[in-house]
Amino acid sequence: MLLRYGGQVVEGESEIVVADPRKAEGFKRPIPQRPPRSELYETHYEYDANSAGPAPPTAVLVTNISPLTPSQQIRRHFSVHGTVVAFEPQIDKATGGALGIVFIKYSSHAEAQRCVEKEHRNKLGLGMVSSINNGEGQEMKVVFDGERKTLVAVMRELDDRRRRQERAVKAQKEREEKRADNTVRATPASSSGTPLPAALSSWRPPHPAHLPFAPHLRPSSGTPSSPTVSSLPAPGPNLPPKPATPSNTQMNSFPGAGPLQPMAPRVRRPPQTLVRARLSVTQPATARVLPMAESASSSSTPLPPRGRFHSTRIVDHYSPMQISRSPSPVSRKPGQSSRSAQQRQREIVVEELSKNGFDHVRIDGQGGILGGAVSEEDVKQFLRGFQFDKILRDHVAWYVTFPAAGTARRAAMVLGTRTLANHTVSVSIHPPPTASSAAPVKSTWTDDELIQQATELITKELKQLLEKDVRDQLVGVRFKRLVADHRKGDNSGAPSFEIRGLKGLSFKKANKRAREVVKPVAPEVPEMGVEVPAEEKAVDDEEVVARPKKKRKKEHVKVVLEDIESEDDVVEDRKRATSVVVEEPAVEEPLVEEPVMKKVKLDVAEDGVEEVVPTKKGVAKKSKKGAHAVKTVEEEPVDQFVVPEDLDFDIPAVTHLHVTPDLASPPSSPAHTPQRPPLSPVHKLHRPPPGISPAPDPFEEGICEDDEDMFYARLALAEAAGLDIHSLLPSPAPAPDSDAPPPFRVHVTGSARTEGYYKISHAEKSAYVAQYASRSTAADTVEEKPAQQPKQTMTSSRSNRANARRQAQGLEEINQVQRAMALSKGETAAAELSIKFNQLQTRKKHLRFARSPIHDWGLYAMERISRGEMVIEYVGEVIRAQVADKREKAYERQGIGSSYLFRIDEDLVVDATKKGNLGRLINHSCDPNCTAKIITINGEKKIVIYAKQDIELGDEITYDYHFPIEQDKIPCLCGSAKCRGYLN
Amino acid sequence: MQDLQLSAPAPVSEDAPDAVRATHPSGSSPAPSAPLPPGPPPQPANPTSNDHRPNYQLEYILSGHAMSISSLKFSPNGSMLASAAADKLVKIWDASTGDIMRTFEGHTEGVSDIAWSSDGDCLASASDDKTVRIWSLDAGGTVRVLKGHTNFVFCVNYNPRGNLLVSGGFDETVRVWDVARGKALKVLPAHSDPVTAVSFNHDGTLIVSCAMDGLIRIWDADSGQCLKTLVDDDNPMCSSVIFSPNSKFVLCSTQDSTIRLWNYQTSRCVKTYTGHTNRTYCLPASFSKTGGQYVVSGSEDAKVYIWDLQSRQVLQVLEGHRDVVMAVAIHPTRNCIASASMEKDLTIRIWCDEAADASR
Repeated sequence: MLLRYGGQVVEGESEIVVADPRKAEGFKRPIPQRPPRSELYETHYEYDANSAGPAPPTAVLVTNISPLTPSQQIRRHFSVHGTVVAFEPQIDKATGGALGIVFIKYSSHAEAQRCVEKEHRNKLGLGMVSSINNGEGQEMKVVFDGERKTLVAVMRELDDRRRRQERAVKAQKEREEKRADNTVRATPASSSGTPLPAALSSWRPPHPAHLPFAPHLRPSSGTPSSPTVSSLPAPGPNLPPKPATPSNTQMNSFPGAGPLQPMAPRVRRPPQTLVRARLSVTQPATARVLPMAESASSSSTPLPPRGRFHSTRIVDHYSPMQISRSPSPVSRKPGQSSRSAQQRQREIVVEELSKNGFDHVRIDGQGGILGGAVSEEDVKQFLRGFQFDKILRDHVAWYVTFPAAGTARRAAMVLGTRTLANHTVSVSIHPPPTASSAAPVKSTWTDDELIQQATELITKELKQLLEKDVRDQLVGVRFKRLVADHRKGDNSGAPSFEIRGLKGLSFKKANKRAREVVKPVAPEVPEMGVEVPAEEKAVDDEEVVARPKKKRKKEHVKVVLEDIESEDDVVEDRKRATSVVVEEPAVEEPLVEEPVMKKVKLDVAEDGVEEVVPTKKGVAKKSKKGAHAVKTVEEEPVDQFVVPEDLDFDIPAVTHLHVTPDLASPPSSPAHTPQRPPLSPVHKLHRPPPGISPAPDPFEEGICEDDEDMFYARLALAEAAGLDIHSLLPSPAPAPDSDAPPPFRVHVTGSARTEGYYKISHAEKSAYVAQYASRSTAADTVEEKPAQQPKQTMTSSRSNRANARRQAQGLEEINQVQRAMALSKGETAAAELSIKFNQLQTRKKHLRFARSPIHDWGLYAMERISRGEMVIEYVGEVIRAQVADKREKAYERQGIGSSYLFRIDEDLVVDATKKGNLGRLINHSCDPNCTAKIITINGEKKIVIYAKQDIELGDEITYDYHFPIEQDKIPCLCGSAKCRGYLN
Repeated sequence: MQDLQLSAPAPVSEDAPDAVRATHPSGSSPAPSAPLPPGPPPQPANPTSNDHRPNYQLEYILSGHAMSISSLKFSPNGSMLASAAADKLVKIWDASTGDIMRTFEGHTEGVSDIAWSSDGDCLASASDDKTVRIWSLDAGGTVRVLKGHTNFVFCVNYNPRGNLLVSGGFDETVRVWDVARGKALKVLPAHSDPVTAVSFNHDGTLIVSCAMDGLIRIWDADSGQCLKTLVDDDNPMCSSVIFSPNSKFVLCSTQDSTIRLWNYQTSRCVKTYTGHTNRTYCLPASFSKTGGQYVVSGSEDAKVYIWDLQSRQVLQVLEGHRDVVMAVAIHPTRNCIASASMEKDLTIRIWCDEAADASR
C-alpha cells in the first residue's frame, strides 16, 4: 500500500495538481437535500428503558368539570381520545360528592397528549347539562399528570383549604356568639380572609355556584316534607348541600346520603370553601343548571347575597331571580318531584321484586340512559321468547320478573346478545331482594337515636371481646388442665404423640411401649397446661434441638437390643434432654455429641429456672411411678399459677418457636466437619467413614424389618424433630385436597421435585396462574360479555354472515340427505330418520357454548327448538374401535380429562377430541332434553342429536351418554331429579 | 429409529481403560463445545461402543440431608458438589474428599433445584416457597431472594455468563432474572402445566424449557420469543431437558421411561434411550463427556443408568441406592458421577471411574 503524506510523490510520478472540482467547467452545484438549519434542533428520543427521568405521562388530570356531570358521561367523553386505562373521578372525602376533578390514565402518551390538546379549555357540553347550559359550560382544564403529583397536590390543597375554612368558620362563630348582631357583614370578611391559593385558582374545579352558603345564618326552617335529599331535616341554608349529589347515578349510588346528613354537619363544610373559591368562574352555569336537576338541593337554600359579591354582574343579575324562584314550590317542582318519584319508583320496584320471589333480570345500559330512552314496548320486544311476569323500571334500569324459577337464568344467557332499542345493554341476574331491604329505609335519625345505636354496637362488641377473653384465658386453661388430669388418670387413652426419642416407638409390642411412653410424658402435660400450648410446643422443639437425629437412632438401637428396659432409661433420657448429661452419650458418640451438649446447656440456661424445675419434678414423680400421686402434687402449683401466668406467656413462646428452625440444622453440619479423617481416595468406601456417620442403614442394623417399619420410624423422628407430621402422611392429605382445593398444595415429600407427578386441576391452577383465573371468571360472564362488546353495526353484519353460513350449510346437507335417501331406500328406519333430517335441517340451530354447571362447558340453545328437531350433528374423526381404545389411553395419559369419543357401532367410534364441532360439548344428563341417534346418510353413519322435548331459549342441551356400566364410576352432576348418580 | 432394549447391564471389563486410550484418544477431551454426533442413527453394532465400557465404582457415600435430595450439581471447576433437598437446606460438599463444607439455610420450603453460576461463586436454588435464592459462597449466605413466581419454583439455571438466571415453576411461567438487580427481566407464559426444566445453551442465546404438558420449547433469550416447540407424538410429560454441550441438540427425559435426543433445528428425535424406569418423578438426564460420551440418568428402580451416546446401549448400571435416584451430577473434569436418592436412602453417592481418569 502506498501512503502519501502532504501530496508526497513517489519517484517517477508526476506532481499532483490539486484542482477544486467545483471550479471546473460545467460543475453543477448539487441541490441541497435539506434546508439549512436556522437553529439547533432539540432532539427528541423515544422513551425507552434507557431514558432518564420519568416516562412521558400517560395520564391527565381534568379539573373544572361540572360536578353535576355523571362520571359515566365524562368517561365516555374522554374515552374518545384513546383507551382509558384508569378513570378516577375524585370525590369529596367528607360528603362523597363529586369534585369535578377526574384523573384519567390512557394507555399511551400519544392518547393522553391528544386528550390534552383537544380538551384543554374545552367545554364539556354533554347530555342534560349541555342542554341546559347552552354551551355555557365551564372550560375544563386538562393537564398531564403522569405521576399523580398534580392530583395529589390539588387534593392536598383542597384539604388545606377546608381546614382553614373550618377554622375560620369556627372563629367566626365564636365571634358571632359574642356579638350576635351584625353577622351579615362578618361572613364575607372571613371568607375573603382566606386568600385563594394560586394552585387552586389555577385549576379551579367548578362547583355549582348556586350552592351558596352562609355559615352565620341558621334559620331553623327546614324545608317541609319531601323525603329527598334536598329536603332532609337538617340542612339549613347555612349548610350548603353536597356539591354533587344531583346526577342520576349518584343519586342511585348514595341512597343513604340523605339521612346521613344531619349527622355530619361539619363534613359538609369543605365544599363551601370550594364553592366560594370557584364562584367567580362558575356563575353562568349555575343559573341555568338550577331548575333542572339541581333545584332540589338548591331550593331549600336561599342564596345569600353575600356569596355573590365577588361574582360578575351577570350573576348578580340572575341570582335574585333564582332566589325568588327557588323557595316557591312551583319552580321547585320538576326536579323535586322527579327525585321523589324516583325514590317511589325504586321502592315499588323493590317491593315487586321481593314479592315475585324468583330471580329477576336487571337490564341496564351505560350511563343510565335506559331510564328514559326506552319504552316498555321496546323491552317487551327485547324479551320476546320469554314468559315474563312484570316489567318494572326505575330511573336507572329495567327489571323483569319471571313467573318461573329458571327463566331468569335462561333469559340472561340469551338476552346478553340482543340489543334493546338499538342500545347495547347489560343483563344481569339478581336474586330477589330480601324483605328487609325492601322495607323502607329509615330516613331520619335524631342525634339521640344515633348515639343510642352506637352505644349498643359498642357494648355488644365489648361484650363479645370480654367473653372471648374469659373463655380463652380463664376457662380454657382450666379446662385444658382438667382434660390433662383426666387423661393422666386413665393411661389407656390415646397415647400422647410426644415421644422421647425412639423409646416409645416399638414395632413389635406397640401397646406396651405406648403405655410406657405415656407415663413419663403425662405428668408433664398439666404443668405445661398451665402455660400455653404454644409454650409446650416450644419446649418440645428445644428438646428436639438438643437431640439430633443420629443420636436418637443410636438410642433406638439400644432399645432394641436391650429389649425391655423402661423407666430408668426414660428418666435418663429426660435428664439428658434438659441438663445433666455426661455418661451415656459420651460412651456412644463422644465426638458428635459434644457440640450438641453445649447446645442443650445453653437452651436450658435460656429457659431459666422455670423450665428446669418442673422437669426434675417430673423425674422424681416418675420414679415414684404413682400416677395418682402425681396428680395431687400437680394440682397445687397449678392453682397458684393460673392467673398470673396466663397474662404474659404468649410472647416468649413465639420467640422460642422462631429460634428453633435456626438451631435445627447447624449442630449437624459443624459436627461433621471436624471429625472427618482425611480420606484416601481409594475404593475403601463401601462403609462410611466413622466420623461422618451417614445415616445407618436401619435394615442392616435390624431396627426396621421392612419399608413399613421404616416409614413409621421416619414418622416418629420427624415428629420429634418438630416437622409437620401430616406432611409425611401420604394418603389422607391429598384426598381432601381434591374436594376443596387449597390454593397451594403442601408437598408431602417436602419439595415439588421429590413429590413426583400429580394432576393439578384447573381450579387449583386458577389460584396462581392469572390466565386461568381470568378464564374461569370470564367463563361465568361469557354469556353477556361477548355480545356487549361489538358495536351495533358489527352485530348485525356478523349475524347476517352467520345466518348466511348456516343456510348454506343447511342447503348442502339437504342435498346430501336427498342423495342419501335415494341410495338407502330399502331401510325404512333410516329413511324415516333421514326424512326428518331433511325436513328439519333447514338451517343449523343457533347454539352457543358457555360454562355449564354439569361439567366444564356446555351447549346452550339460543333459540327455541321444538320436539323432534335436529339440534346438531356430533362431528369428529371416524376411527376404528381399536384405534379409539388406544387413543383413549393416550388421552388419559395426556391428561385430557373429558371424553369426546362417541361409539357409532361395534367397529366405529367418532373421536371429537381434536377435531369436532360444538356437538362435543353437549353434556350428559340423566334426564336429558335430547337424544343421540345414529343415522346413515350416503352410506356413512352419522351421529345426530335430536331434541327429545321442546327446548326453551337458553336451556342447556343434554343427552344421555348411555355409558356402559363399569367398575370405575364417574359421578354425574346433571342435577336432574332422575339422576342416577353415575354416568356408568 | 429403533430403540435398543438392553435389559442387563453389561459386565465390566477390566481392560476398558486401555481400550479407551487405544481407540478413543480424543474421546476424553472435554472441550465445552465438543461436537456431538449429528442426526442419522448409527449402525446398531457400533464396534467401538463396546470397547470402552465405563467402570464406575462407588467412592463416597455422603449423608446429611434429612429429607429427599432433589438436586445435585458439581461446581464448574469440579471442586465442590452442591446438593439441595426437601429439608429446605442446600449443602456444599468437597467433591474430592466428601467433606461437608457448608450448609445454607433460608428457604422456608423444600428446595427443588440448584444451579451454580459459571464462576462457581454463587449458587441459585429454587424452592417451594416460591422464591429463588442466590447464595454466595464468599458471603456465606443469601445474597438475593428473587420473588415473583406465583407458585412453587421447580427449576433454575444460570446462563454461561452468570448474569442471567432462568427459572420455571408450577405457575407455568419461565422467568428470566437479572442476577445483579434481582429483578425479573422476562416472564414467559411458557407452558400449560408446571415447567419442569429450563436451561441455557452454551452461549446463552437460547433457553430451552419443558413442562408436564409434554412440550419442549426453545426460546430466544434476548427477546423471549418462542422459536421452536418440540413435541412427541405421545405427548409424554417432560421431566428434564438440557442442551447438548455443543448446543445442537437437546436431551429430554420424559415420564414414559424414555430419554430422547432431539435435533431441534429439524424438530426430529434422533436418539432414544430406554431401559430405566421413569414414570413419576422428574429425573434429570445429563451428558457425560469426561470418559466417553455417555448419557447418564437416575431411575426409579434405584439405579443409575449409563448409556452410550451413539449406540444407545446401556453401558453400566450403578446399583447401591435404596430409593429412586432423584439426582445425578456429572463432574466437569474428572470421571465422576454423583447421584442422590430419595427418602428411604437419603445418601449422595459419588462414583468414579478411576481407570478412565488415570488414562487421561
